[in-house]
Parts: sequence; C-alpha cells; structure tokens
Amino acid sequence: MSASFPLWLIPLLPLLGAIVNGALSLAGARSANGPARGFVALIAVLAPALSFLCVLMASYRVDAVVPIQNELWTWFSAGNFHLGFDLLFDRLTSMMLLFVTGIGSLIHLYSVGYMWEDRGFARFMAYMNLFMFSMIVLVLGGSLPVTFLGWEGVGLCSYLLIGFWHKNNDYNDAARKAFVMNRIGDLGFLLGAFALFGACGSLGYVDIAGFFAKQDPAVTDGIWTLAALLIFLGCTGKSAQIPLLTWLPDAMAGPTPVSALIHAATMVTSGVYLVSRLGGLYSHCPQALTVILVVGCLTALYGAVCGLFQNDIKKAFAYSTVSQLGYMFMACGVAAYDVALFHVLTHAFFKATLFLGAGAIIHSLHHEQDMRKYGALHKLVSHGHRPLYLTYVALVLAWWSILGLPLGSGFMSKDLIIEHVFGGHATMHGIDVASLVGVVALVTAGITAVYMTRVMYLTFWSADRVPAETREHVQRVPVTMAAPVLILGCGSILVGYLWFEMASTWTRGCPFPEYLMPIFHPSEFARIEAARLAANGADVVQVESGHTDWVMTGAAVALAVIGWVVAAMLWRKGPRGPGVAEQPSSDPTGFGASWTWAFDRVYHALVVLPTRWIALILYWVIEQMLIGGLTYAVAEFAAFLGDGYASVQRPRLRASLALSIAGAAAVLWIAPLSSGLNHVWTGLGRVLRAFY
Amino acid sequence: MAPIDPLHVQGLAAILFTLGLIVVLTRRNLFLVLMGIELMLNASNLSFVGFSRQFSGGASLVGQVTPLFTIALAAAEACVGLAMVICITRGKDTVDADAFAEMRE
Repeated sequence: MSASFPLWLIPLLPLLGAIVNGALSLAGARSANGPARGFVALIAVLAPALSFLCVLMASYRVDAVVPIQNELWTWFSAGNFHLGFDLLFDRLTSMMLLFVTGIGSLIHLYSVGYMWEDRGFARFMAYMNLFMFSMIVLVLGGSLPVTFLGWEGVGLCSYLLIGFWHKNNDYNDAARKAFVMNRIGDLGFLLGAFALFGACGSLGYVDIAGFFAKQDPAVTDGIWTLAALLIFLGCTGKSAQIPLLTWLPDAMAGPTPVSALIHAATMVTSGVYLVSRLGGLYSHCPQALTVILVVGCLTALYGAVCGLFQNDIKKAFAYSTVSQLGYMFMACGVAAYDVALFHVLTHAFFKATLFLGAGAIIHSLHHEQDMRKYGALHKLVSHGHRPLYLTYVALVLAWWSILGLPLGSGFMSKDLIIEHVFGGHATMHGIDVASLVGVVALVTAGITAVYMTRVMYLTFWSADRVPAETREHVQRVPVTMAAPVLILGCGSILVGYLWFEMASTWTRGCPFPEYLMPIFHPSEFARIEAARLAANGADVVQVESGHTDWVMTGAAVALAVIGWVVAAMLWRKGPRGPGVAEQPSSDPTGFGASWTWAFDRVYHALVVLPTRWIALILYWVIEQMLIGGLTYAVAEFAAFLGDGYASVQRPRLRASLALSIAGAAAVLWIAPLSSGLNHVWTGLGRVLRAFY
Repeated sequence: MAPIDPLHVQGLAAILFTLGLIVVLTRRNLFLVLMGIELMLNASNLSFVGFSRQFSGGASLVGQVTPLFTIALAAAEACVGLAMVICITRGKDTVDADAFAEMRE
C-alpha cells in the first residue's frame, strides 16, 4: 500500500525562507544596519527545522518497498515523451534528507551566531535557505532532470556563498573556479542522462531501476557504461574527485558555516548519492565500477597527503573532505552503496563538527586561520573562562571518529569500506585491482590519522603561540554556535552505532543496512520478508551483511594508532617548516606546495595556457585582422567614395539643382537605351535558337 | 480656321518648360525661382491638354483632369513655398538663393 504525504512541503519551506529573507535583504539594502537580525534568524532557522519535521513524518509513513511519489505538474512533454516534476520519497531519500535537513538546521543555528555581526546577515541566510531548497530538490527529485535542477541550484548557491565576501577578489576567483569546475561535471551529467534515456527510454528513477532489475546481471552494454561514466564525471565535479577536485580547497574562502554545510556535509556527497541512486545501472557496468574504485582510491590518497602540508586549518579539513569522499566512492566502486551512504552519514557528522569547531576557533580568534598561530587553545583564558573548551571537547570527539578508533563512527564506516573493498571483485588486465585499492585505503587511513592528529597537536596539544594582539581581543563563542558543535560532536560518536549488530528483539540485524535493503537488495529483502511472514512475524533470519572481519579492523585501528604516534612525535613541539616570520602566508611551501598545487599547475599548463594562447591568436587573427580589418576596409571604402562624391556636390542651391536635373535627364535617356539593349539580347537569343 | 497641329502645342509646352527651367537655374531671387517653377508646371499642363485633344477615350479624360489637379497642387505649392521663403529670409535678411549654401559642412 502506498502512503501519501505532501512532499512539496519539504522543499517549499526553505524556499519560502529564502524568498522572505531575500526580500528583507533587498528591502534593507540601503539602511546602515540591514534588516532586523532576530526576525531574519527566526525565519532562516525555522524553515529547515520545519522541513526536518516534515521529513521525519514522511519517513514514518513511507512503506519499505513502495515509495511515496508526487507528480506536482507536467514539466514538459513532446510526442510520447512526458516528464513531470516528480518527487520521490523512499528509504534512500529519507535517509539522505534526515541528515541534510537535520544537520542543515543545526548549521543554520550556528550561522546565526557566526554571521550575526556581518552586514550581509539577511543575504547570507537567504542564500543558505536557497541552498537547503536546492539540496532537498536534488535528493527528493524523482527523475534525473529534477535532480539536475537541484544539482544546478546547489552549484549556484555554492558559488554565491564562496564569494559571499565579494569585496575580496581572491574569494570571487575561488567562487568562479568552483562554478566552472562544476559546469564541466554538469556537462557529463547531462550527456550521461541523455545516454541513459537512449538506453532505457525513461529518466525516472523508478523506471530506470525497474529496467535494470529486469536485465540479466551478467549482461552489460556499451551505452550503459558510457552513461555510467558520464554521470560519474558529473559526480567528480560535484564531489571533488580527480580530475575535478581543485575547486574544493579554494572553496574554503566562503564563511565557515558554508564550508561545514555545503563543502563537507551535504552538497559534496550528492555525487555519492547519485551513484547510489543509479546503483542498478552501475551494478551492470563493471568497467565503470572499476574506474570509480580507482578514482576514489587515488583521490583519497591524494587528499590525505595534501592534508599533511596545510597550515590553514580549513584547508586541512578541506583536503580531508576530498580524501573521505574518495573513501565513499571506493565503496561505490565495489557496489557497496549502503556502506558508501553510511560513510556519507558519519562523515556528515564528524566533518560538520570539525568545520564548525574550526569556525568557533576562527570566530573567537578574529578570523585567524593559520595553525602556526594556534596552540593550547583549549586553555586560552578570556574574561575568566575558557571560550574554546566546549569546542575542544567536540573536536576531540570528531577527531576520534575520523581516525577510525573504536567507539567512534569512523571505526564503523571506514573499516566497513576497507573490508568491502578487499572483498570486492575488480580486475583489470588480470591484476586484482580491489586488493591493491584496499591496501592503499589502509595506508590512507594511516595518513588520515597523521594529518588529523597534526591538526589537533598544532591547535590544542602544543605550546601556546597565539600572538599578543589576537589574545587581547578573544571573543566568546555564543551558545547558538556552541550548542550545534556539541550536538554534532556527540552525534559523530553515536551515529556509528546505527550499523552495530543489535541483539535486541526489535531487530537482529543492523538498522542502517536493513533500512536501505529494499533499495539496494530488493530480492534479498523480499526473501527475508517472505521468511518472516512464514514464521508469523518472529525474527528468524539474520541479515548477513553485518558480519565484521576482525583482522581488517585490527589492521585499520593499528594504522590509526601508528599515525597518531607519528604525528605526536613530529608535531608535539609545534609546527615545522617555515615559520610565520619567514612566510606570512599560510600557503604550504616547497615540497608540500608542489603536492598541493599539482592539479592546478597541470590544468594551468594544459587547459588555461592553451586557451589563453588560442584566445590571443583568435583575437589578433579573427577579431582584429579579419573582422576588424574587413569592417575597417568597408567603412574606409564607403568614406572614400563619399569623399569623392562630396567634391561633386555643390554648395550652391542652383548648381546642385542643375546637376540633379541633368542626372534625371541622363536616367531618362539611359532607360530607353537599356530597353533597346534588351531587344538586342532577345534578338540574339532568337538567332542562336534558330541555329540550334 | 485650320486645326492646331499637336506638334505645335507640344513644342510650345517644351519651350515654356525650358524657359521655366532657365529661370529656376539662372535667377538668384527666390521669388523668381518660384515663378519659374510655376511656369514649368503650367507648361506641363499645356502638354497634358494638347495630348487630350490628340487622343480620344480614357487618355483624353486623363489629359483634361490632370491639369485640374496640377493647378490645385501649384496653388498649394505656391502657398507653402512662399511661406518657406519668408521664413528663411527672416534669418538672413536676403532672398538670394546662393546665400543659402549651408548643406555642405
């Protein structure tokens, strides 16, 4: 039985918030202070919170197998083709939307504290609400075009928010870079959608899943692989994978809540969501899966290594995000979509905590992001109390989680990924790619421990290096910022237990994979349901996907501990490399820099410079010589003729009249002459025709 | 009385037209130029009437009616033309056609 729910409410609420706040921002554009902040904040936080409530209600009502579908209106139709503005709510949507709106609401609350002093408070909140709307449309869309609408929307909001402080031109460049990189990916998305439409004749997710469920699992098709790879190109753009990853570190130019919401928790994971949503397609394309696996693996390694060299705390976390996204795609590459989405969920919690914690530090230290000027921040005293102590607690929780140490959420999700990668089947030219990738994933887990622990040592567990002038003006962290950080910090530990095998009467399996089972393993789900029905509701079947490989887990934990120890040995005494005096900018130098900027340099040499040369050549040859020269020649010729004729023109009225009369007379003479010529020609024609 | 030869009528019209043209082109007084134009219009009227006598039927009717139009037109033209001459004369205080050489530059 299909449940019903007004799904349009979920995106509508943030959209209304965006419209109201946008209108307020425009209306208050000329005032000195902007619109009343309290009212703006209330609307901005209430809108995503209410839509979180709607998602909760819809998740409560939705059936395991039959999704809730709303066709709001016909978007476009031509001939037999019909495309509605479909919304689709199944358990995958439910899981995504729960954390998107939940964490999103908390980050909106955090933004109230973070951006309160900013002149563009209302504008910022309007953009944030618009982002929530777009992200919800992306996830809730029932077909590729609707998702694409949200996909473009989040790209736009990302652009607007990266360049939010638009008086700094570097920030504008970062925003443009993000937009252009995403556009390249979007082209892949569109072409992939066309190819997919050519293959299965529909763009709706339900139809696509049905089409691939009917195919023989062993069968593959070139057009499917093409579609899968093109859509994956779109995902590399949005989710900052090789080759389109360079925009994400630059995107840290935006305010920190933006980095937490868009560039860590939600938007960048939409690529993983899309691949999982089209899981039926990808499961039929082993080559495409191998590509995803390798790309994810390389990105994870690259991001982790780059993370080692960052002095800017947000840049370090940004490369960490790139690396963790690589892990998610590794899981997608072995068709373990539920594992990938589980890491999406846990990563959303701990990375949002990390960014919000970094935001709290940046806020209280007056926008100081250079970790070389940090140290022992949890002991920093201002006005008799320690403003950053709660932030410190939350960051430790998140750090524990991302390292993959026991009890943290990363322990569950990251180890599951490594385990599934080792258990996956991917061969290329006879080489067991899956095992290689698994080894790299393990090593990357170790590097992750090194760079994350480095951040912790530089920020907290080393000598106090905060400059005196910063220390004098330390700001306290308001409760609207501290509360979300703490809630998410605790969440980053607790959310891992969703995969934990529970020996309760409620369920014998793991809640998370079981929740998504009808989406990713429908046949298995049907089998278990049938067995349950036969046993009259008692739990007889143990879900098998919950078993744990203790060797792999032990290896991952050991590597994490080794990484911790290495980082402790290296950075216990504070930062290494050039100090603040030698290098005022927080950009990495030397060896680290060449790692970090490798992609930018390659793109600069391969794409930007040739484009500039072509543009220059086109400018001189086509624009200046051909078009400009021709225009100039025509104009000059006309002017030349005009000058010549102007000397014929007489200033005297009578003389010009006489000339014009003479001209008219000449025409009157020529007309009969030319008609006479016509007679000659026709006569000649007759003569010729007589000859033939 | 012997009938008038059509050629003579047309010849007279041509002579009158040429005289008008010469007046227009040679006289510098704007009023005389206007008079030359009148003379040319009347020469064409004479030509029309001459052809109307020569031909019969529809062509004859056209030849008789067109001069009526032309006379009305000439009256209107004289009216407007004289008004314009008075207007532009006020600016320069002269009726010399060659004084109005401002078209170029």
